[in-house]
Amino acid sequence: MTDRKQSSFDPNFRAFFSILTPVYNPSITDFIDCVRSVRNQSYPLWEWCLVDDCSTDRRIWPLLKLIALRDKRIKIQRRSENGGISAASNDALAMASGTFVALLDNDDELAPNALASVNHQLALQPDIGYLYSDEDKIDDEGRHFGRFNKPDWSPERLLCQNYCNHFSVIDIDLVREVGGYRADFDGAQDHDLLLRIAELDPKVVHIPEVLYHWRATAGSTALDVSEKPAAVDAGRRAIASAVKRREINGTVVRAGEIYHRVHRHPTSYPKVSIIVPTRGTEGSVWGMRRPFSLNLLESLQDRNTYPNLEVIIVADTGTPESAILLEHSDFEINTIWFDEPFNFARKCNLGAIRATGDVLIFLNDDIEPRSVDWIEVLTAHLEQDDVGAVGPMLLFDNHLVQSAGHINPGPGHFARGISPTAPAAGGWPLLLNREVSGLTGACLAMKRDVFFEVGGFCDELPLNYNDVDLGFKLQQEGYRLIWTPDASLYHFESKSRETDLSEVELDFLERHWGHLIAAGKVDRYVR
Amino acid sequence: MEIEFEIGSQDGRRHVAKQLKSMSREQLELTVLRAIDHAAHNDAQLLEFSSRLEGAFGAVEKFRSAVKRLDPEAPELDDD
Repeated sequence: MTDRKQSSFDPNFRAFFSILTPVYNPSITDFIDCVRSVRNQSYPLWEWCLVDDCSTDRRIWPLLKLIALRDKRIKIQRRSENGGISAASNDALAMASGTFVALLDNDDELAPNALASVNHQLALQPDIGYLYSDEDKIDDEGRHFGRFNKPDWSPERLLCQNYCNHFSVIDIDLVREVGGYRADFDGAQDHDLLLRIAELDPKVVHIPEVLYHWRATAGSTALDVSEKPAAVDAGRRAIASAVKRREINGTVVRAGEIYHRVHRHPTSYPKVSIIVPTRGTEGSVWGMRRPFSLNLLESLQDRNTYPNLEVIIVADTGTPESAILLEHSDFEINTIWFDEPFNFARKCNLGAIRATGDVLIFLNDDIEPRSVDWIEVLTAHLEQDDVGAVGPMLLFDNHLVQSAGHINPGPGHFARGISPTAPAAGGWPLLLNREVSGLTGACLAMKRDVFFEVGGFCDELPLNYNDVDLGFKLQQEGYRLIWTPDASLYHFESKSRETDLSEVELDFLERHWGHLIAAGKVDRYVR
Repeated sequence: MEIEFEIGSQDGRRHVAKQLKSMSREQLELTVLRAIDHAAHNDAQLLEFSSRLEGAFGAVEKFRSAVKRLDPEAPELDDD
């Protein structure tokens, strides 16, 4: 788990890096640029372990010998036969004598300060096991494009996508402990390696600087990985292998053209309490005016397969009984009458206290399930001990995104108003399970124990931002918040409604979480 | 029903204890939630509650624990 606390800086700390590069028929000019980028490092303590994987281009090996002659820090080796990228990388690993390995492909470039920046982080926190940086792409003309501003450490997202990729620097002991690269996963060998490294639970640091330039030429993976279907399939197999190792009850499903995600299934069916605060409001549901709460309860019958369920309605006094189902053939319904001034947070807390389930799902009344196994998906993610809350994809009735997790600062809804299959934030996070910095209280699943552990919703925030506050409290306690598109629901919230925020609410957030949402700060997971 | 969470004088703590005794189970548990929420906003280190709240008696005990965590110097709450 990422530890954002920084210990004292040791100005004398100097790591020794082993750069690992398997070499196979690179473009000579690209390779020379690669060499130049390594030799131009501002940080001096490195060795470069290059293994020629029996290149058929007869110029490569003499070129390697030439550059090794020019710089004693460059170590070269040639395989007697072509073994593939993992075999060559493992040979490079065997040559390494550094304490950290830095992964570099034979046609890419490092930023001049790449190793210096990594060393700086290690000087701050010498117990780091793995570091990764932002990256961009570089074309044949040397032009930079496609900067990828990566999220902070997101193990759930890594299980879907090798978002860490370049530049990766890993404690060499960790790489050796997992047995290095596995040739069965050539094409996604780095993803497979990082998934196994992640299972050792090292301290991970994300450096939000572009330290790596990924060569993007016609036919290259950097430009379009879909041109390499074998690599896409290797990625799927790497994820499936991780799912098996971790004993996750899940299915690896395709997510768009090139990604996959793990559709999780519960291993048990704890009782779930769905808590629905309502005032019996009526509104437009698929063109018909009717009480939202009634529509929700009826739709739960059609779009729900979870077998162990209760529903707790927390209704303001005066809510017409016609807006509430008092009985249901599939699950128990309990109604609590709330006779205090309107306070969404307090109504939710009251529902939680009355709930008898081990899992709580807070659900606005103007919601309708879309996927039938949405409760199974949410509860399955909660089976991870360090997951504090899970939220689904919420769509407007025009099928565009209402909320795909929060972004802070905003606070606001990520991807609001765009297609759920569209690219966002320079990538495809809407297709992937991933960590988020907040989840909307409109549909939020939590373990009951965790809800009480952090004090539930803060009732000093009666209307807005109580969910934002809850998310911060959870993260403060070290919990991850997970958003997943495998559970999806419609939210009939008005697309044009302006949120009515009070100064008091804004002041509360600023007072307690201002250090996280101040101007100039960026969201931890969507940058 | 609201109660004051500022931990002040001995009289103040007795007042809190009396209010707690007059509360229903739900009011007690809401009160405990508020206490934990206050602790979360004041100092994350105060939060070490690991078990779920079960019943009013447990809630009172947890509230007492919360009070102690908010003010480690405070004496135990009296039963009277």
